Amino acid sequence: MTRESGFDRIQFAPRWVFLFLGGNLLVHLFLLYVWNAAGQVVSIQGTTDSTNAFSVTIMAGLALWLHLVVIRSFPSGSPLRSTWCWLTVAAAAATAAGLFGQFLGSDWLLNPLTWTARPRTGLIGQIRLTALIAGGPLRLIVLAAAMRPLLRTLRRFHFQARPNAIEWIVPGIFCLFTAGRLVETGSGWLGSHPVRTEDCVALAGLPVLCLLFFQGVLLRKSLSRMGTGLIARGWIALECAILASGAGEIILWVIPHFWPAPPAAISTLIHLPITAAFALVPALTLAAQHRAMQSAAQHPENLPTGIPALAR
Amino acid sequence: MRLARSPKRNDMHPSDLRLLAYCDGEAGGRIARHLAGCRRCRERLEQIRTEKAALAAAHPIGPDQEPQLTGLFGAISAWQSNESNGARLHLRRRVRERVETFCGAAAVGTVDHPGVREEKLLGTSNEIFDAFLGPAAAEVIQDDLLRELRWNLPLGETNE
Repeated sequence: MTRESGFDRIQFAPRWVFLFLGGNLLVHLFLLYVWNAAGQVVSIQGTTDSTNAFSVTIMAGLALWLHLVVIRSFPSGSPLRSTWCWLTVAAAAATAAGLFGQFLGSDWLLNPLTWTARPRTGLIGQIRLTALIAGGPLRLIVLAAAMRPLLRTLRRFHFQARPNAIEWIVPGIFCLFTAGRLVETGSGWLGSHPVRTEDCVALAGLPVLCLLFFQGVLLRKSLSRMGTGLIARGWIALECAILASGAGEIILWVIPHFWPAPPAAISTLIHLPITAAFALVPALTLAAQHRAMQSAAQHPENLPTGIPALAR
Repeated sequence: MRLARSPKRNDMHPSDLRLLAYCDGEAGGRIARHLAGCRRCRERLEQIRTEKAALAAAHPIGPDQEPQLTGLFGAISAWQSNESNGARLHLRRRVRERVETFCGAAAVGTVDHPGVREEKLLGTSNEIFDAFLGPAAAEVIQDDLLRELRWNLPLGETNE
């Protein structure tokens, strides 16, 4: 019975994620509606590359905590130990980027770096840049590292299959998008247009996202040979999170072309579901583990007496 | 708490079954020592030997009865084989159910082939659960799989 303790409430982790996501999306949509109804008088504008909203940071924190819970059940030597370690690092990077970017890397009133007579704008800028790197390219590199042992483990159990030509179209499109972005920025730089550091950081993450897209296709193909069981659902969430990350990048690039000053809520509306999808990976794994433990709790008799010679 | 053994227990007379086994040379030392000092058991042993000889004289196993014995042994063997096959099918079904629940329906076809033995299937599924859910959960699933099985395979077959 001791096996079940610790899983009593955490089995509902996927529900927590969905509830938090649904609640926040409703609030942000309501705010957008009010802003639009008020004739856009209230200033909630912000650039789409601004740091994540609090809700995204809280979701990233929730994901980090769930990863830390999951990683305890994969001791050293487990095939997916390294995958969970890298995923935990990625969640920690996202959380740290959100916290530092929002609390110390912005000009809001509660930032202690702005309390002095001469605000330390240089330090604030550096913190903001570091947060952008940690939450962008660095996190994506770590995610790509996490995918390697996962795909290797799936191949070990003969779940891997070769994607066909049509399935390579999606990562191909994203590669074209990345190339387009690089050409666009490069031509702007050659045309003496200033290139912001934030843009450079965002661009640095795109090639890694391309790699993640290719890995995502391999993962999707492998999972199609596995099915949609409790284990597979967690990894399907990871696959969706990767695809959503790419789609989010494209949307965030397209929006300013049609909407010169989009509200910051748009960025949150895009980033929050992506972060929720990443949080669902450990949440669904915990739910699967709980399901396994539950079966033991229903049969509390002494196990060794029931195990036949085969098991012994 | 462990109870102390009664001193009288060492002096107890052997049962008829053990004396019969002694007659057939299947029990030794302790009974022989007991018989050396117990007149009552010696008399009982002598009686068993007499009855055994009388029974063998009255119902000799002739050549015509050997096929019947062979048939009996064959029936016992077939019964044991059926029991084992039933348990194997039961185990296979349960493993497939668990794989379908935790991995998915498609995984069952990947893991289970017609030529795969039940022991191998069990081992593979346990490796998958161990990899994707962690050792603790995998152990619980395997315990759950084997809990209700009422069968025993020879230990040699488990090491595949």
